[in-house]
Amino acid sequence: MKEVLLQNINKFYDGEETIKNLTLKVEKGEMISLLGPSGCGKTTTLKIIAGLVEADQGKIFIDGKSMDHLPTQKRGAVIVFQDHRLFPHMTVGANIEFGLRMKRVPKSIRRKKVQEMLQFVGLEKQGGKFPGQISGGQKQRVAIARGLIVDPAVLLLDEPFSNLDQRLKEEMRSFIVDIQRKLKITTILVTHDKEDALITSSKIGVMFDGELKQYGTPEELYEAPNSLAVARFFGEINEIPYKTIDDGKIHTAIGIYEKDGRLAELEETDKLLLRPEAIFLSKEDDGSGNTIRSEIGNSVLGKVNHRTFAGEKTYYEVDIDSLRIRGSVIGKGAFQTGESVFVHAAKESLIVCK
Amino acid sequence: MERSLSRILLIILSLSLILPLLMILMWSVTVSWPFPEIFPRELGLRGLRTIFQPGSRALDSLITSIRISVFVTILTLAITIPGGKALGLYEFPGKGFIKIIVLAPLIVSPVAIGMGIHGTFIRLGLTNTELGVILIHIVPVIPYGIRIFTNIFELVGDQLEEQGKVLGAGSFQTFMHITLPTIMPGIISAGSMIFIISFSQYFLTFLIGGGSVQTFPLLMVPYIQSGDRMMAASYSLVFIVVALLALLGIEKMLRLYYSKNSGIAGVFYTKNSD
Repeated sequence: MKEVLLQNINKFYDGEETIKNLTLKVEKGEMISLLGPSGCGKTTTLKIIAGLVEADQGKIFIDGKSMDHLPTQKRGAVIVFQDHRLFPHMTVGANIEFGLRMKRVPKSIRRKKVQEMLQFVGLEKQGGKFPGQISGGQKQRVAIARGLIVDPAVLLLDEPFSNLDQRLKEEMRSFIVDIQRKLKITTILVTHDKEDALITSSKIGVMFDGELKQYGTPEELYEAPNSLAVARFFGEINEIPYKTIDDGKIHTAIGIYEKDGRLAELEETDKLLLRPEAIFLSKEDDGSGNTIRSEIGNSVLGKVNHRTFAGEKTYYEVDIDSLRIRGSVIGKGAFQTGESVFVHAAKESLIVCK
Repeated sequence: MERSLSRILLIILSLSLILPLLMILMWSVTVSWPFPEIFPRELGLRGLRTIFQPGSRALDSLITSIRISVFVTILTLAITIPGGKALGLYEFPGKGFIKIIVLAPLIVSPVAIGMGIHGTFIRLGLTNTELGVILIHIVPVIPYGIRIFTNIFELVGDQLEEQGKVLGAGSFQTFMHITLPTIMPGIISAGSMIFIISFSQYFLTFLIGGGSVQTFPLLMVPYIQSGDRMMAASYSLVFIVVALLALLGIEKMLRLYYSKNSGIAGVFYTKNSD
């Protein structure tokens, strides 16, 4: 349980900058994610923390101690790699024991700890097997157990879920969250999957092209992304065209809003975004003769262009003049293709970003 | 059909390997075997007795030969494992050039290299010494070692070493516990190849050793040339048996090491968990 601090890390490969001025702080016992597409420098960041790759500039501190020129084996930063990297010539037990053996922990203590660890990850029966004889999910558990047994200062998880099928992935995800909560190990998870990041982490750092674009809680990133790229990474999003007219109100394609609250700081170069689930659709006429439009007050008329049923949700593509937006509703939805609907959105759900 | 064909091929192949050996075995105990007769006329043990009588030159030279080849094997492995690792895993300027240079002894005849290096060895006082012979034997085997270890390291990568370091293993520990077991198949094949090549060297030993370093092949060749078939066959037989034993020995030794370093813990956890 140590805090980790990266200060202005830069790394060049073949003259190209792969990590750009990265500054990141992970609190003691916290679990955070580095999220980004493959090749954005996430894994390199992990290797820099562990000392497998040397940064060209910048400083790393673990628990306040500078890691400058400290070799990998003395840092206590353990990486669990995506491909597990179990030692094929050792049994599962010997794999888990490895770190303790390197530290010359007495044999009796080692054996006791390995047994505990095997139990902890639910592999009591597999200790004598070789890595080639166990399943992918079990290998993952062994890799994690092997890392945990050395009581790492920081646990670095490199895409731990990407080789697993959906069911196993969900199981491993809750397994890791569980362990992390129990042991309170400072953990950095690297993933390209927004869901992994959102579910497991108390903070998320979004990286593109070696740059940390935004670092914050999952809610902040989802509800208040600071750029279109970040917003897109967390799911589908509609860009809503708007103009500010002299009356001080903001005229958007889906309605007119007062320039206050969330929109108070809106500048002309900013973008206005809206998530599909924040779009409400209602019928032109609810059958009783009263149009819902009059109740909501602020909405525009559109036409359903396409309906996609996806089980728990239904997606609608709605054309409002020349603008096509995507909305989603829970359940199978009440509208058919070609129907006219009213589109409205609450001001609170509008996202302003640069 | 296909099966019987492959079986016939197998039989032909084994016979072509075994028959010459059988001939050597026969000749080593044959005193006279005139041309048209199918079986030897007279058998005897003069050849083998000469070799194995206590204090014989043959036994002395056999021991010298084994000693030289063992040192050559160890030294060459010590050079080619790091060399192969560098060529297989790391990028550095001039890598392509070094890769070719290192394989040069395969292209340039060892005879030419031996002649060229002879003068230098005389100046260094290495001629007529066992050390000189060991050093010159390393020349023709380097390419095999480098080639094998370059390929092995390209194949296994350094991922496991990275994992070892991350888990707290120092450089030496990483090498002993991870690198060595991982490249063990390469060590066995390179080691046995190096041993055999060094063990069968005739010309280089003769050139640098100048006759005062008496290895087994040095004694054997004159018999083959002089036409003493019984002696030549006896020497060849011993030569083959020693080479085979060396191969088996190297393999056994390394396997033993290998299982000692990983197997014990494995056995323990198996016992305890069931």
